[in-house]
Amino acid sequence: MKKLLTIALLFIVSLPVLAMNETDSLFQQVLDEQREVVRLWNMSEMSNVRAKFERLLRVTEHKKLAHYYIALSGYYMVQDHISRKENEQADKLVDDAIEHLNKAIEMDENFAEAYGLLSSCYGLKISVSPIKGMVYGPRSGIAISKAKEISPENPRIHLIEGISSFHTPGMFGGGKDKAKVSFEKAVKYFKTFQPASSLAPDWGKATPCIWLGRLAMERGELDVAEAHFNTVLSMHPENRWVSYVLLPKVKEMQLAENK
Amino acid sequence: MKRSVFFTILIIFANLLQAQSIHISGTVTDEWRNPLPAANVFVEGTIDGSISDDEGNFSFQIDAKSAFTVVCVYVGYREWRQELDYVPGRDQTLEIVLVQEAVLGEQVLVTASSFSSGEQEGVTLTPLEVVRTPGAAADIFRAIKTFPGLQQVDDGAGLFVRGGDVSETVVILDGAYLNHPYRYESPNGGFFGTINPFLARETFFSSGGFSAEYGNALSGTLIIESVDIPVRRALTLGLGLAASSTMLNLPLADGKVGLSLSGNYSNTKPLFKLNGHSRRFSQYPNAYDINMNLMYQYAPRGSLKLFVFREDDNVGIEITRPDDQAFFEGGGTNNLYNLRWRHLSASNWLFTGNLAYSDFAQEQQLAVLDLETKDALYQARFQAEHQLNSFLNWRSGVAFFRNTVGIFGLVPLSDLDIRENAETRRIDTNYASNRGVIFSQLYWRPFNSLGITAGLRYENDSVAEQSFLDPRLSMTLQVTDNWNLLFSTGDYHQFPRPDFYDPFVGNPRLQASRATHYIAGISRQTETSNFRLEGYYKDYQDLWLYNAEINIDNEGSGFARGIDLFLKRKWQRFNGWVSYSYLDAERFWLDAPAAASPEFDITHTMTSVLEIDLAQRWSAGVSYRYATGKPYSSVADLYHDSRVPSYQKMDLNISHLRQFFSGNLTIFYLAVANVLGRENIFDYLYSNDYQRRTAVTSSMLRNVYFGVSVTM
Repeated sequence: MKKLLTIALLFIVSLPVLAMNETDSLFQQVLDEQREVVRLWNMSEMSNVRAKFERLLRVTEHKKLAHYYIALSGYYMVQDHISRKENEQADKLVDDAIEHLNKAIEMDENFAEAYGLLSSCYGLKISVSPIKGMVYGPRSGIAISKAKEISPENPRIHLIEGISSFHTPGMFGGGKDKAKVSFEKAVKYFKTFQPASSLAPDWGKATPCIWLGRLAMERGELDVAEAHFNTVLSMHPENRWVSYVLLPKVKEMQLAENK
Repeated sequence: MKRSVFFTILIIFANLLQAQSIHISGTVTDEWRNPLPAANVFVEGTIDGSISDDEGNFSFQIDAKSAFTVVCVYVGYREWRQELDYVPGRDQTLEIVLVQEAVLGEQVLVTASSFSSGEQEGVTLTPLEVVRTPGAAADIFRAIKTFPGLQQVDDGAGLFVRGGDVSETVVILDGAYLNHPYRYESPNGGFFGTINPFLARETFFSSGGFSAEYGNALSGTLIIESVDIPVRRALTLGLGLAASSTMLNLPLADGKVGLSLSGNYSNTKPLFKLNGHSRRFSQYPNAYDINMNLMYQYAPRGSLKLFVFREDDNVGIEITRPDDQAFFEGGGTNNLYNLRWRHLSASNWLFTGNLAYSDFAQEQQLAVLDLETKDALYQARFQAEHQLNSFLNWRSGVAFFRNTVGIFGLVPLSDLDIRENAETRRIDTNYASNRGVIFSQLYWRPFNSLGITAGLRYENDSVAEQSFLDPRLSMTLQVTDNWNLLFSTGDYHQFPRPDFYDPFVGNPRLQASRATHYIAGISRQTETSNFRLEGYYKDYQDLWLYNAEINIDNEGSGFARGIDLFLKRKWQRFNGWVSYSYLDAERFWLDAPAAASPEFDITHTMTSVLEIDLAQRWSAGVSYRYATGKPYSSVADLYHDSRVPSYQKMDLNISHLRQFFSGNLTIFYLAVANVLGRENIFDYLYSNDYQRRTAVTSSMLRNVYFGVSVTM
């Protein structure tokens, strides 16, 4: 009987620990699901992922990360809506992403990843409605500066800065040369980057190479572009944009050049 | 033996505790029964759940052991939750109706549309905001009046903007100008606006410095955009103490055609009987209106919309002066037919156009006054807009207006003479005017932090035989992350009201009046708060002035200057705002013997509004308004030498939401107006010898209104 009581007590005491681990493992599961959805660029499934993070937010102790991943899911969905010219949906979702990132920052004012993504979300606000650039351009700049100040060697922050520079004309402090420098830094820092935990942000490793490839294409450096795209495919062989759009385009340009 | 019994009990107990699989399914819609895709439905405390599909349908399976709570969340809507009993094997079907939550930020203040930088000077309201605003009586105009820059001249809905008369603010519905936007029309506007807030998708108001797109207004613009094609069929029935209403939304032809029909009938007799009233009625105010909004989406980026509207109102109320009394009998009928076209081309050119016809007929009788007014307005408008690049947006348009007006009847020689034997003069005005408009404006962002809108508006009027070119300019400079500096200026012209052209009592050669606006301000906007402080100066020239020889001329002038302050903040369950306006205005116009305060020169106006989500399905609101008393003449030889006592009013409302059956949303509401029971005085009517006076007050003191709205 004594043994039974001991087992029962042990069971009761260990309940919260088990519960916590179960939540973390669910978190990890949803995170893996998100990575898979991004890999396959299946945005209809991203709504489900976002919803799961929204549910996790109420049960997990990693609330700031849940806010971050809700925003990240929204960030991907917004890009999809913009490509379909569904600006109204895009605008709602990007507003929601901004709200979640601000909540994450409220919980941890040194959350550099959140500042980085926030900067990018402000950039998306401008993509939805260019006239709002006056309001959101400077906000985006402030957020990325803060992110760099907190974590100067975070590769994603340089990636986001590069994308922003790519879309901003030189007269407004952007430009493609500046973008190239940021993408190269991102590649450099990704080589040594280690996420703080298995749940911490760890995405975008192949993305700077896509952008460097695009920049090289624009400059007519087709072999450099091809090399960058092959690097992407070595990391993500199923990347459809690179496989079916960018790389064939480079090959086509190379053929035209050789003629 | 003991051990085996123990394990048998344990196994039975464990079986009892074993979770049962339950299937949960249903739909998620908004209060108008439009499906909400990607709404998150789940069991609280777990990640078991699903999202709704494009039709709003969802379904998922859970393993339950006891009662559980289903939660539904959706961006921009209030959280929905319902506790469900655990009945093994019983599946659950839920019809979830979500209600929009109060919004703050872009939808409420500042930029309404990215393509309209000039609109950054204003505020926008959603239908829900209109309905939730305490004291607004679910009226767009009254809700707008809780924002700064609007003066409280009486208890009505009239928009007196920054030292301007009510006639100096135009109301535009889906691109068509409404010449008579008020119900129970009076010289101070009217008691309500004519447009039902639930037919309005969005309402935008500008208190000055508006762009070249809008004209024939010296003070402000109220722009209403009607609803789009409904996604799901919905019927809403409303019944209140003084009104009944019905609204039907029908999607047709696979969502390419939509029809919204609504009808409202109001009779205020029960309201006045319940609450008592200070004045007698020969006919309690009553009105009906019928609306039809037919929409056709002929291409993914092209649509046609036909808005048809008819409104009819009647009132008979006693007017009392120290020596006399008489009943004012009035009635008006308003019709509008507006066809709007909208097309976005593949090369991102946005074209819009309107063909509209509206007419208005009014009869007024008061002692010897017997006047009939007929007014018809034909409108045609075409506009093109193009986003040249990220930094340049161009918009231009042409419009044509033909206004035919007839005013017939007898009026007393002295405006307020209500004696049976008062001397009269006959009015018989009948004229038609044609007005042509061309405008063009450019939005330019030379730097990341600076936006400039510059425009020109040309107008020509055939009766006044006058043409002019109004320049308009507005700038916004972002100084820090959240702080902006605002500046705008421009010339604004407005043609005279019809009876001023009468050859016997007016002047057929009368010209337009002109105002020049100078506005500067700062604003701060964060995720949870809005702050705006603006100062303005308006210079008036060519105002209409009574003239003993030619009845009326353009020799009048004046100014208005003031400060508007707005602060809005959202806390968890609270949403509130404070508006304050300081105004100093003088006009040498109409019957003023010299430059003096016009009756709408209200020095201080302060409104505070607080809305509270009390619990899941209860919400309440309270508003308080203070305004300096309006000027009046206390001595026959003096003009506006005194002011009536200050206006003060506190209003409360409370509402409760219930879902009685599948897909239903029922809202119960109770409103108490003028909680403090203050008798506000709006004016004094004097005896003929100017020795005795009667105060003009509101018809009711403290009053209660209640009702219910059912959507299915």
